[in-house]
Amino acid sequence: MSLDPEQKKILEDWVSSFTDFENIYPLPSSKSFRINTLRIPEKIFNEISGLSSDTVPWDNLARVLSDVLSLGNTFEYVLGYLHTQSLSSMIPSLILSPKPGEIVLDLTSAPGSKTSQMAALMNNKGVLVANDVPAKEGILTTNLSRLGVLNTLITTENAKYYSKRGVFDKVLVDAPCTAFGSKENSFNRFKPEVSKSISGIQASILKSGIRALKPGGELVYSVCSISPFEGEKVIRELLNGDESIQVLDINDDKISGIPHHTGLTDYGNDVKKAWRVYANEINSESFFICKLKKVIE
Amino acid sequence: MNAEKEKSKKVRHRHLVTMDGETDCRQFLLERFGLELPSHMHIMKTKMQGIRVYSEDIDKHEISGLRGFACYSARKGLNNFLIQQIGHLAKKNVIALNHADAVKYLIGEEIVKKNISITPGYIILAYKGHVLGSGRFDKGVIFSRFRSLRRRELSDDIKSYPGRNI
Repeated sequence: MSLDPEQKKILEDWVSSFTDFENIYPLPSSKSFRINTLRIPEKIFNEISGLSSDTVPWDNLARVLSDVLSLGNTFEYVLGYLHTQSLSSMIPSLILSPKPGEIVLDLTSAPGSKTSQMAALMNNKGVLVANDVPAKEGILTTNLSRLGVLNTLITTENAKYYSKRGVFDKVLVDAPCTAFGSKENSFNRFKPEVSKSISGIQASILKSGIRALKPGGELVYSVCSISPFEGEKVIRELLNGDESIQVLDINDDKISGIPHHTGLTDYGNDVKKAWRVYANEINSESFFICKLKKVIE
Repeated sequence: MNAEKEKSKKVRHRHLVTMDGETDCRQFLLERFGLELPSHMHIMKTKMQGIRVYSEDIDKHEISGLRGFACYSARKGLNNFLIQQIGHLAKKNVIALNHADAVKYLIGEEIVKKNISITPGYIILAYKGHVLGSGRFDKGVIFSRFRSLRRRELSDDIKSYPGRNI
């Protein structure tokens, strides 16, 4: 499988340093899940579960399934002991690292995978606001109740115009995206004009997330796309002339083993601190992740 | 046919409890299951004749939104997810199922248990110490309350939960 020459030309025109297309073509990803510590301690899960799975070096709760069975048809799933979640999508919450007692916002929360992961990191303590459009409230509520998440407040505001300002210690903005380079066949379906147009929406949601942060608060911006229009360009435009926002290094020892690359150099030195996670290296989806800090109001 | 349906609906809901607020909810759990909600779980009545359960920290902040998750609604009764979470604390009206009956429960089939003396009403179903959810017991038959959309035939088994004797 390789990239269509026409698509390759479009990508090369976008950004000169983005040349490793052939190496990032996503393969069929592994089936993975996360142990839900809100319902069962990890130690007991390991004792009672008969699922054949492998551990992941950078997260003791993540597992890669070795069996071919459907996770939805297992006792562990029905009992809420696990949640099916791709390995890559566990990374933004680990980077944000919310702590018990903090006030946290997940601005685009549905279906609730990252929200429930953050609730587990917070041990159901503190407040976690889970926001998404009204149409997704049902799936969000179902997943959060199945997984025993108690510290959430569900809101259904438009993420671009989120009303709370200066309230949150931490914010996760996992913006809607084209999923370019994320899953198998995503290259074939990709339309560059869609990526360009969606970057405006992503920038608006990110700015809304920044407004919701307290001074000193931290935000993680992520998209499951490796289009620079949805990653680096969105961050570059946010930083343009705004000294109240800093890009932070992602240097937590616990997650340093995650295979990743730096942000593309064409968009400046600050943006290089972001992470690009490529599907074929992590055997999951591709992601762009950037950690930001609001230094002053 | 319609009359039959109506009759079956009435039978199905005969023992559903009606809760009208926090006190009702706590009292029901205590009387029916000998179960006290853990102190970190708060409950409140909602506008839509429902009761929600949420963590105590939410009360400390003035942020509005839909709290935690529904533990009871007038239409659906007691929430199975709540029972899965706290059912292991119950002291009575808990029935331990064998593997065949646990599978039956999870696909929504009725389970006949003629020799059990439990007053009709809600029961908690467990398998190897894991709480599967709630059911309704009436005249020697357990009716599954496992949500119809989630009913499924399971492809694996699970080991006993250590330290639990339900």
